[in-house]
Amino acid sequence: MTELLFLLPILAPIALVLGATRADSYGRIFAEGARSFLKMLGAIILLCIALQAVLYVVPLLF
Amino acid sequence: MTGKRPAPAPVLLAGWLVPGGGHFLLRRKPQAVVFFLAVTLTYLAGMALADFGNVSLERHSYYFLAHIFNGGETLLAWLFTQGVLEDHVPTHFGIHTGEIGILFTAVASLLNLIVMMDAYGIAAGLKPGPEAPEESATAEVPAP
Repeated sequence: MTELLFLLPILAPIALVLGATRADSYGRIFAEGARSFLKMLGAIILLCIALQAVLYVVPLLF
Repeated sequence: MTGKRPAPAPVLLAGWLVPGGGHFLLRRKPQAVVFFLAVTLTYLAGMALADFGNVSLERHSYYFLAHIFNGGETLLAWLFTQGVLEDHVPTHFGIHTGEIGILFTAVASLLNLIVMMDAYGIAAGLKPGPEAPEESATAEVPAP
């Protein structure tokens, strides 16, 4: 879990770079970056929930 | 943007040498600054997490294939950290951070590839640039 916290900051530069490829001013770059960051964070959380669900359901089937 | 647009090859080379260098040549200063800070700080953070022993062709040859895309910083890191011996496991806050550091530097270098391609696309006229959609959105619609 703590290792995951070390990996999460890597999302910030990825989001900023994605934002800067879409916008041309500081304000819009950071707004786009924040939107990308939240989208990625949401996707990761959903993926973790889905994985946990699969890990709980599959053993029940067999 | 006013003035003559630089040729794609120097823009690509500038982006390879310095993250955001291509955008600087294209006079897109905010983008150049953000790209430089995002890539360089991630790269440095990765090196610090791995105790400055992760940019090495001998020790991490596969990751070095990713580092190649961040040419200038990788060259500097390789020159200045050649003598660093990886005789211990890098540990910060009780966690082995060596692999995490390698991942950080590799991701920063691959991000620079995206940055280089973005600058090349703008210089070659393949990408309209961020201001173009706004211009088209605010363009007057001719009366029927």
